[in-house]
Amino acid sequence: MDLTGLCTRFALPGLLALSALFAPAQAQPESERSAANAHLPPRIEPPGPVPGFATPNNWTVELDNGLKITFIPWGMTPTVDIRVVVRAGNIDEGQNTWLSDLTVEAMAQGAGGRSDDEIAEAFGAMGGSLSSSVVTDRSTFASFVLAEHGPEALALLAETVREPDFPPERFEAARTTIIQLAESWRQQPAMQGMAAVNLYQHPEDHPFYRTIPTREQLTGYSLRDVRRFHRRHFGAGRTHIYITGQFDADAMEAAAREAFSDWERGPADEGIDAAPQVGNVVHLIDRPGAPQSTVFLTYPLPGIDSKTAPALEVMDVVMGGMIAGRMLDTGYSYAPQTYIDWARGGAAWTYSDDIDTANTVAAMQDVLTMIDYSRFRPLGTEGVADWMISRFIMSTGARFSLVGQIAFRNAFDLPIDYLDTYADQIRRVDEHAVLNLAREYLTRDRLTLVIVGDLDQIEAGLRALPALQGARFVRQDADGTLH
Amino acid sequence: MQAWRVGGELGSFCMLRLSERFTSSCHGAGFLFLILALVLPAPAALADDVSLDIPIQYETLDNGLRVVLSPDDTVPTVTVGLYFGIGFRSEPPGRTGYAHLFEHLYFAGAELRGDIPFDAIIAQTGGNSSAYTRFDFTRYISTVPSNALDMILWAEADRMSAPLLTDRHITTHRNTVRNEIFLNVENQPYQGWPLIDLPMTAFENWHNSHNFYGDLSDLDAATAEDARAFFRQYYTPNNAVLVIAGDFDAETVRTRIRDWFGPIPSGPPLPELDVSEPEQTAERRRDLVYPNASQPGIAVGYHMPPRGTPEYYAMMLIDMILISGDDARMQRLVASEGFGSRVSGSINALGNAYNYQGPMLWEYNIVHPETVNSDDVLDLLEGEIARLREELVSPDEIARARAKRLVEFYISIDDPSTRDGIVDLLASFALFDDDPTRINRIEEGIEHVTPELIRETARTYLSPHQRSVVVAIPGSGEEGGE
Repeated sequence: MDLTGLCTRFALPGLLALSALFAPAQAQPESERSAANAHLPPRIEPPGPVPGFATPNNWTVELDNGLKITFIPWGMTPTVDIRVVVRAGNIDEGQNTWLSDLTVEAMAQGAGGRSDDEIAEAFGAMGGSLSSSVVTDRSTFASFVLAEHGPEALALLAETVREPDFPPERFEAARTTIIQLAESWRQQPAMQGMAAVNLYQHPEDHPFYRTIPTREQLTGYSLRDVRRFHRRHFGAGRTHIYITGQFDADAMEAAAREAFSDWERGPADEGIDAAPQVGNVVHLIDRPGAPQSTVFLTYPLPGIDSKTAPALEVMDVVMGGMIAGRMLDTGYSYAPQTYIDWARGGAAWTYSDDIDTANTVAAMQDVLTMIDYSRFRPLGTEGVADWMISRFIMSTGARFSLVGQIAFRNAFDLPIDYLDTYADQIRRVDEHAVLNLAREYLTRDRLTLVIVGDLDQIEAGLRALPALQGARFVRQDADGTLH
Repeated sequence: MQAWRVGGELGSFCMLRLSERFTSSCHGAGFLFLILALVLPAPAALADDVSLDIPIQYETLDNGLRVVLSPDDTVPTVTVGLYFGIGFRSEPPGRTGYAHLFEHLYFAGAELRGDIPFDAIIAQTGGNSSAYTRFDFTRYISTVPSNALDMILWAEADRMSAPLLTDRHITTHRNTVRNEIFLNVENQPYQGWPLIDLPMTAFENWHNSHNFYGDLSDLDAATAEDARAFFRQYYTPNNAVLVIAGDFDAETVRTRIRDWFGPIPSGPPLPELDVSEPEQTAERRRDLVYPNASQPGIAVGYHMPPRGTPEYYAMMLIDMILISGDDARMQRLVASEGFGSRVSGSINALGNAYNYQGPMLWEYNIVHPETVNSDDVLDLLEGEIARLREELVSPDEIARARAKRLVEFYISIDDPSTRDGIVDLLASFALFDDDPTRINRIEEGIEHVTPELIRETARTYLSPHQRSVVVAIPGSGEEGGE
């Protein structure tokens, strides 16, 4: 249960667009002011353009074997954050769902002749731990330690990435961890919904088609499978190290060269694409008694390398502001959000939400109406660029998201000045560009809508919504049966 | 598609005295700021370095509003935190969930901006704003581009002077709160386990043990007049701290604060509040069924020593020794048993080790495979606590615990862009202690923890009769979780 998001707000500039559809909010006439705030000026003039901020200094070194190291001396405390990112993830699994997760978990069980306990103690003495994670297209091994231990931590990370021992006696423990993770995903309506979305965004033979592995799949993988996955998908040429914080750059580079220079380049990236597909489908999953309906509404888009990418981002912000504003105005939901998932070769724009059961049909009617509206009339984009640039500055100024921004640029092979020119790119987008994108991509026949909820309460109403009349409906019972 | 596999909460801090909580600390006329250079002492591992030097300017206005300024122009943004000394612990009986409901209402409207939501005003500047309610405070925090500071100060002063609190606003925001409860609790596999269910088991005093999200019937009964009375009682300058951190001109900001916040009148004295807990003499336990959960779990809580005591700091390191990081004893134990899951836990699970005031739990929890009995898991993990009561920890182990706690602290404050962690610490220290410089003495407390103190603390605070346990049972059954 995450309570940290308690009351996070979504009133984006798209609220301006919202006012065109629903009753606009009004400021109080000055004549009605009470004495309580007589000491305040009646209004404050808008502050004007966001102050400029240059992307913090960072540079990249490439070793002869293709391994790259990016140094980011940005941080207020005497700590260093080291992330070893390998271009190996779920997209490389074929039909073996989460084999990459199992591989990475097994890698953490011992390396370079050290047991997992010894590795844990070594990192602990530096104030850190070995973190590992797998996402769609990459695996990350990281540690956050006191600055003076940077070189030592880097050497330890290298052992895990390069020389995992895969101790047989720890393999079942690693497997159990991944089984437990899969079980926890299966229980959550959001994960059930995401899994259903992937059934329509990717063809059956794509690695992303199956989101959560079955227990039988996970019990079927052998230590040999795991070793093979590591051998085939890990190597210097697919690895990028990010070093952030306060550090001695010479010492860290020397440590990186010492630890990684003799690693083989390894296999090349197979270059599998993961562009989301058009669905034109509504998939309803029954969760009897659910107090809320968990919603994913998604449309395929061009990728981050397309010329329209900045305008797509503006479109997302405007649409997100409009939809979120409506949800919060009505109290239909608590945490509406929209986002673009940039994938290899494509992208998807998604609205996701948890709407109370009684208002699900009315809320979806509003959302689909707003999306229809966006295709017919320009949405107000005034102030959007400044808002986005401001958020971008907050992100590039923050230690942890700065490294994320730089890694994003690298992961998609974007131009080296991508972050420096972002603000200009966003400022050049106008409302007509957004209108054209909405017309092209947010059409009714391109949507995939997945709703996990109490179908007795919502199914009939959803089936009757005008905007969904052209879509194919699929019903999934609580026991998994499809109709 | 795995989440990060390393646990360990991010720390920040606060050391507080209950008696000071509701003191309106007027320091006489004028607006003279104390200029304090806050230097965090070098940790042992960095003996020759002074690591941090956070400037702090602190003053209390005549109306009781405590103001903390912390200039830093690294990034051209500024963060404004407004903390009120009202949390769900101090909300009135019969008004469960009210502090949180009011947190939402406070965004709705104010006299000068009308119905335009507060966060829309902030968003127009390119900033963002959020809020949350915790045991002992409700906080509002916004970060905006540095040229928009006037806008945010004006908007904060507007709602602190004259918020719009009507039945219409209550209806909308009550729906949002209901959806928040559905999202975070009712529609989750483990619902209120452990964050709500454990305190409800471990505490006896209503203030500490009620469902802080609120009974829906209490929320339904809320009226506009209730909201206005709540505002007049609790959202007063003498029950608030204003923190401004980031890129700003201090002289200009002082003028703005004097002009815009200074005239807001002080509120009435705060109601008497007894949040004390009787001494626990026997284990408390509930076995609760969660229909949508598929795996069992245990959650265990022990009462924290009073804040600021040597034993309190010892508990910070016990938390590190037992839970934080792969080398922590409980993590190693469950890894060697092959449970496939990690132990989670912390001091003050809804906040951090520093931003609370009053009775608090140190807790741990784990979801484990159904092939293992929950009582066996409990015995296994409690065995590590028994070891702490019996054996001294080694110098290496306590050094690791100190290093981990230090890194957690650094992580929590290392954001020159939105400054959430720093604002939280400065506000908490000012609100509860009238002394933001207490930030400076945390490391000293941690450094003074010895193996003997850890053993003594475990013997005094971590005995089986002092624990509370909530066992999560998956599947359908008679009794649902809270």
